[in-house]
Amino acid sequence: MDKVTTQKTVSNPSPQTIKPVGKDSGKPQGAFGDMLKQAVTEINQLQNNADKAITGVQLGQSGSIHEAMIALEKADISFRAMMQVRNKILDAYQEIMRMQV
Amino acid sequence: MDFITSFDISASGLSAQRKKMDVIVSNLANASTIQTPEGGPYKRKVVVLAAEPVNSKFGSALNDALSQVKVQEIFEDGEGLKKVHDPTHPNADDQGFVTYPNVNVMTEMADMITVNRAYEACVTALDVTKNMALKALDIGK
Amino acid sequence: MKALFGKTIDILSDLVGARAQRHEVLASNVSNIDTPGYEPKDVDFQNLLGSMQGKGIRMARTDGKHFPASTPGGNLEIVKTGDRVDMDREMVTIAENHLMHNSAIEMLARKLRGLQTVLKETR
Repeated sequence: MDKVTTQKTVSNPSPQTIKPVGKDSGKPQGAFGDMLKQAVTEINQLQNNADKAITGVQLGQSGSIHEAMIALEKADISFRAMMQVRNKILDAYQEIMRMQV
Repeated sequence: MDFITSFDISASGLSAQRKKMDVIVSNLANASTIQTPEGGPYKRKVVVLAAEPVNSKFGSALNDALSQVKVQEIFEDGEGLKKVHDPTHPNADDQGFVTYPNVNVMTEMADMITVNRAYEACVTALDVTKNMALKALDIGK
Repeated sequence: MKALFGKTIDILSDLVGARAQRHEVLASNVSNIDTPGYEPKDVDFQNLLGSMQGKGIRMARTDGKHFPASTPGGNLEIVKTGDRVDMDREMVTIAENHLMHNSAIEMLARKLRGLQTVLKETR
């Protein structure tokens, strides 16, 4: 779900996100970089969760197979989703670079 | 691990039913045995099963509700020994009676079918557990 | 290349090996079901998993007489499990071992697939 909202913010950027970064303004609130960083952290967290679930199941500590498999899939799918977002961003960037002025 | 618990429970059922089968077969084989090492005729044996809480490492409320089955004891049924008047028999007593075991072949056969079905049920339960775990491996495929 | 493959992949690959070895032991129990004087054996998995939980992958040498684990699962301890082979128990243990072996392989495959996605998706 987080990823969907991410995509939305990207396709319809609100005015404050595209505020030009001046010398005095510093980093704008909710910059794209921050958002991406947060997404990466989240995905890393999901990967760690998956690792934890796997060791839990395989070393007989706790958890069940389906929990581990779901954790693995969550990590995989969220990574792919982030990659799609990144690809879209790159496309948009390249589109802008090709623009005639 | 969750499915290992149900494997253990199924395994306890299988062992118990097989023990029961051993006893039934012993009853049938000795249906007319009139001499035993303890003296007297063979006496019918009955398996007494008892529930036993699952000893799981992870004590949870659910695991407390689960129980394995174990063979509590093998009870010797001394009732209803058949006395047959047969004075020529070498095992006849002073009055000329020979004591035969109290094994009823019909009862034993019926018990055998029950045991067979129970064993099959345990195997099926085990298979289902295994299939469930294998299906869980297919999540996301 | 240690950084690329995390601890989990090492654990999983060790476990797959250990499960395969355990299967050999269990299979020998079943084939010796009628052997007089044969005592069923099993790999001390509880001990193995316990030693793996602590510090990740390599198994600890709990006794100076143990061989160092040069190969994964090299010092699996074989213990006696009873006086005679119980067919039901053996089959159930084999089924459990098979399942855990499959699950370890499946999880390993998913982890590796994840790594492949990471590498493929860059451009």
